[in-house]
Amino acid sequence: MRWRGPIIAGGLAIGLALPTSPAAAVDVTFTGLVVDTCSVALATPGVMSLSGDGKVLATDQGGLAVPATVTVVSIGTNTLSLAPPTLDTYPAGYTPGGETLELSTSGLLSNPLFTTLGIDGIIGLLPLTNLLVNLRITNPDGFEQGLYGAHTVLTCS
Amino acid sequence: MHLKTLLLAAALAPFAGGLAAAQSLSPMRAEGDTPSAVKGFRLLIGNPYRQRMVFRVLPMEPGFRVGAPDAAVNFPELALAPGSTRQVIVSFRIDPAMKERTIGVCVQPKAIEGMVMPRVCGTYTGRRRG
Amino acid sequence: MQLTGAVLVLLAGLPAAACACDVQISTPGLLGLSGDGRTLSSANGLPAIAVISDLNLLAPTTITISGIRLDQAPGGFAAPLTYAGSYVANATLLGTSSGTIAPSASFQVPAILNLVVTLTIHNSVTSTSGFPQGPYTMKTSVTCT
Repeated sequence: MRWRGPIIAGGLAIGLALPTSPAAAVDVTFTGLVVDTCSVALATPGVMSLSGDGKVLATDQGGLAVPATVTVVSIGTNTLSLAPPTLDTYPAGYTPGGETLELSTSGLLSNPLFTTLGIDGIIGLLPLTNLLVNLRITNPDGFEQGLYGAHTVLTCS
Repeated sequence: MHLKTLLLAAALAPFAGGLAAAQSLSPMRAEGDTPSAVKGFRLLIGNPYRQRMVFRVLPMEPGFRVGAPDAAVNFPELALAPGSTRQVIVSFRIDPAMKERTIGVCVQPKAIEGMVMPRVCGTYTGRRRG
Repeated sequence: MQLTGAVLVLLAGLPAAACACDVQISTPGLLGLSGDGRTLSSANGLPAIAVISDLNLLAPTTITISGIRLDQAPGGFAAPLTYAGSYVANATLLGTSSGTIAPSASFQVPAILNLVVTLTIHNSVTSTSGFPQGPYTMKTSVTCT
């Protein structure tokens, strides 16, 4: 009969078409996005004291003087920049202009020589890490009695 | 000697608070398209330390030295509890004559005592589509 | 009748091998960065979920999870990497099978009508120098034999 012919042919076709090899692998996908992050914290504000000759006010004079400590956490690649320091406060009897302000750093960024310029560095992946900042104000004419304050801006970018 | 002691006392006085100030910013860099003349970015600002902090969020020109015109942050001042984060949106206008504009955003404590003013600054570029 | 018998013999004579299973990805995984910035993992995001059905009815099926790899990363990223993964397989009436993918893992399911296996997979990749900013894609292969 004519309709059986196709059945036989169909049966053979089915037999030949059934796969005999393992199924192809299917990929399971995971996606994610990493973004650079930076966190900075002023842990210790820093204290200056006067040198024996009265001409240098600095954080590395020993005694009660201590450098400022900043803690840094970084993910990805970031840049740390310390701007040249500026004098913020001084007593009424003091005339600014004759002093020199300088920075030096240790720890995360090592720049041990005092400089009037800024200090920069590239940082990568960092757990909580310390950066110590020393500040020095030098005036050959000395300092009047009173309150002095100076600062630098630390930028993580 | 007396002068040295007085200067020491003076130097110590502003640091009596001794508070740690900190902030974090994420992402530090981003780029994106806009179909209009205004581009916005969502930024996450965090206070990872143990005291409440008030931060200023400032749109800046690249280089982070001067403020950026035609740019704004929806929360220019943020009070954050310890360990908390908050999203802010910075948006800026792109000059129709330009195809793109890059601005910076800096996060810094509103008030701080100490020798170092810490801040975190990001760079964001918007491009006009079409 | 003879023809029908012939067709049945033809079909019965075919090798009872492989395969057919249908693997559908119900939920792709999400990767998140660890606090120290060194590990990208679905443990910090979401696991992937795959549903396996249409399993072989003539013989048990071995399901193999293997080939954990980083498929996409920002240009120039070439740090040495360490991979890890784990899975949990659930099938009604059969309970749970679980294990680590190191570097592959396999388990067998019996030939049961309408059996469906739900596979929950975790992936992670570690770089001691961290990861540069950008999009990342990891892949793991699931195979039935």
